[in-house]
Amino acid sequence: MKNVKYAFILILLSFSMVLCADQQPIHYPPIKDIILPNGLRVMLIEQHQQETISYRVLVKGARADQPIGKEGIADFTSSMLQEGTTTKSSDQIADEIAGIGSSLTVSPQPNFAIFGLDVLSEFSQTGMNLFSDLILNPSFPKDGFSRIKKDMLNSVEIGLTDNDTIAFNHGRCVLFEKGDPLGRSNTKKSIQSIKIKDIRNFYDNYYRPNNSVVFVIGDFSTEQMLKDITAQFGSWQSAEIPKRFKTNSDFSSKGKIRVVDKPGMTQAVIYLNQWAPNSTNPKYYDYQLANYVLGGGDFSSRLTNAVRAKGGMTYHIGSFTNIHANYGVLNITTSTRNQELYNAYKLILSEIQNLSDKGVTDDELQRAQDYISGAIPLQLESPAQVADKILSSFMRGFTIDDLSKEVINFNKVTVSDVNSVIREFIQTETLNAVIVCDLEKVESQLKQIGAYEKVSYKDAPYK
Amino acid sequence: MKLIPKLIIIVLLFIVSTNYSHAAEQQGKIVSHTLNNGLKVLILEKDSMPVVSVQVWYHVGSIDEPNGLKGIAHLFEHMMFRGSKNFGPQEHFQLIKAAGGNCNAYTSDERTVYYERVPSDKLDLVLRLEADRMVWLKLDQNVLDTERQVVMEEYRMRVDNDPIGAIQKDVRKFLFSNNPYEFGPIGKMEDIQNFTVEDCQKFYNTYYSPNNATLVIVGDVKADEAIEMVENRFGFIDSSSIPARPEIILSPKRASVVNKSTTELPVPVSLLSFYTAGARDEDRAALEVLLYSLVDGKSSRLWRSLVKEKKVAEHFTGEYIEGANNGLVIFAAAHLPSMSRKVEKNIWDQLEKIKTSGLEDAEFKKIRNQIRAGNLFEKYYVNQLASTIGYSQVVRGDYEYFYKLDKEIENVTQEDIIRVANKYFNKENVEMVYFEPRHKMFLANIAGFFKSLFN
Repeated sequence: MKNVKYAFILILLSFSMVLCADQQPIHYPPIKDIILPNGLRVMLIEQHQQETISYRVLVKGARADQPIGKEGIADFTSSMLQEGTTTKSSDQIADEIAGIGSSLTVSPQPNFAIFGLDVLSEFSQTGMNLFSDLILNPSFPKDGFSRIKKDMLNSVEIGLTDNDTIAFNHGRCVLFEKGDPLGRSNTKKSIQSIKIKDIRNFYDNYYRPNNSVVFVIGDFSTEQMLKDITAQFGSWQSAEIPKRFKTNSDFSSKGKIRVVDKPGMTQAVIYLNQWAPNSTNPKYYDYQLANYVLGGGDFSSRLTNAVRAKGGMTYHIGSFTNIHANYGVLNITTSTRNQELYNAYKLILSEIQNLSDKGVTDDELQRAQDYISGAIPLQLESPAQVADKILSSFMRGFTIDDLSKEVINFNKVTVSDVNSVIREFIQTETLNAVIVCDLEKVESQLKQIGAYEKVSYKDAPYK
Repeated sequence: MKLIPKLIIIVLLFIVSTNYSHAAEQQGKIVSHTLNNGLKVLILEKDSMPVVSVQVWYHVGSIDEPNGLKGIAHLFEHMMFRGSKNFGPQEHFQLIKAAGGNCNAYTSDERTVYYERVPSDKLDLVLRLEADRMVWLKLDQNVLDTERQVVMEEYRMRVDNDPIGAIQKDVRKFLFSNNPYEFGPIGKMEDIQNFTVEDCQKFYNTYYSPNNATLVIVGDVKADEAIEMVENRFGFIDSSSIPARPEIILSPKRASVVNKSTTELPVPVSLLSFYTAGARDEDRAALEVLLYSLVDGKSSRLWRSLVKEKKVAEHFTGEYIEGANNGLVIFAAAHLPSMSRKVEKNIWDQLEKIKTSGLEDAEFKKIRNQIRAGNLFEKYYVNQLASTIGYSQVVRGDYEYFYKLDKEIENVTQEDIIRVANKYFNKENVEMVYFEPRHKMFLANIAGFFKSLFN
């Protein structure tokens, strides 16, 4: 019997969150969820805990939609929204947002971007006017375009000094099939090639009401908010959305090794990845628990215990998942002193092999379930966190009913379920490895690791 | 000596001090309570979520490290998770995780803070864990050797293989040479290699005592019940004699002279660092307002001038870093080669404007709204509230500042702004550092040269 601790799964406070015991659902606050005639989905949660309102607009136009050769255009477009509208300059926008004590946030994901504006409720109207103006009426001015392009070019350059970024960019390239936009990262060439007309095209293609969601939570009247949103966004024109490249998760593909040479490093970065089940897979919950035992649970995980706590080989090692509705990826990352590269690499693989061969124990699963079921409600401390959780979960194909039963679903998983998902998905043979290192210093160790493709850190990850 | 006779433990368990400074039932008020052993406890009830944040602020940081032991405060932070009398190595993390919570710690120049965020019914578990390692930490050679390797990996990751970390290391060298702030919490590699178990034991005995700590609890708890738990868990621990921290006043060594170093970054970086009063000084609020106007976001004066209008910098950022008695304002710009003088001049021009005319009314209004909104949004999060309370008490010297955050900002006048701008932002009070890229970029140099001519 699992510990009963869910007397606490009250989420947001004063409104409607009803406590639940072990096998009872989390009750999310009631959502007014409607679709306007132009296809815009509007979700409203009224609550008055503090005098604040959090606005969110989610647009399903992101990295997954970038044309080949125009890598960076999704972020470029979202950054351009603050550079001017048909009635406001970038200075006016910056002054007005700061004037109400707020700031615009952009959270780019592979499949969508979420724009956010958190305001004091006394500035509700100003916030709404500003937010809708930015989303609906960008003017894409030349001066803002030039500055953001320069920023993005600099970011590519600076990214070459960040070893984790280098590893991750190459890792994506190794995993995703050629032609998949998700396998490609920004390069100087791709940023250079982007013109204002490309930005406008990307905006026109994807920033559409039938491709977006408006979510508002906080201290407002639902009726009035709905009127305001309809007034602001009701005339936004819908359009047909271009089809997205279909990501192919080839679970049987043999793992590859790529060594990225970066002279001068005193540590080597090891980054491993492989395909994981997507969020619509019935084994989603089993897999998340398996990942916790492997490397997602810090000091409760096998990798941290073996490589850091016992081995003293690293400051940090962990595994994490990127799970979306159409694909999933398992990532493992660490860095270690040059002389321990081979030992650390072998130790990671042997831990994975051991997990695959012998599976998890009752105790490990219990700890993973205890953590996840305790952590879920604690992740919903503020209205903004509730908004972001609901929005990102919807994008992964979950419903409010799924979210309500999330803890229950995790607690239903058995040791046999977890071991089955590990055997099916977590295999050393299909792991890709990217090692960023000073090749000259670790070459003899690399020979022990196996055949590898060698590139320079200055090279674009893809040909 | 940390271990005390069992009899005394039993006696102390039943002593509950009553020196409350606020009635516990007052919603939204911090309850302050000090144990007989000197442990200061600050509790804020917040029942909107069944969650509690527990933070133990030890009044020890890297500036307390003697020469030869640079980095021991930080290494010690690691050791605190490696087992105590009643808990095995890693068990602290594992028990917190099993509760669905999270925990971690950080070391700064002046303090070391351990924090947990857990469902509120786990408060006693957290207190038991914190008390156990405050009094019965296990220190042995094996654990030290492993954790030393982990910390050395952290050093390689944060300093050797990270250009920003390398810049920070050099900035400290130029700004704080030969004083306790020079190496910062990450310490010195050669010292870390040579720490002994005896060094660690001595450090622990000296600084990890209840009278050298502040315990902050924020969340869905009843203050009187929490105090009883704290008394039960911590009340038996002996206080100890804590060495007084020597007063350190920072000032520029080579005012207005440009110190030079190199960087892995692809463009040069120029820094101007002004030495200000610390968090306990009456100038603090005016400095905070001033810094918002200068560096906060795209409506700030310096970003707008340097990056957007004059286009002399590619990136600009600024920070106001506070210690208890010392502060620093750092402006940092990444720019093309040959542009450093223009960056510098532009910063001085903007500062001179404020020194003469102060801020516009709209700026005051904007900044007050920004700070008010920040404070209000913070109220959703128990960890942030606990951090602000701990900061008010430990760094600023009194938890009551927690209530005055908005008011202090409201009270800042134009005269205050002009006064502090003139007091701190002058050429006798600045240390400058210029970082040249190690890998020359021909095109960037050419571009920088032409830009320097026409800007």
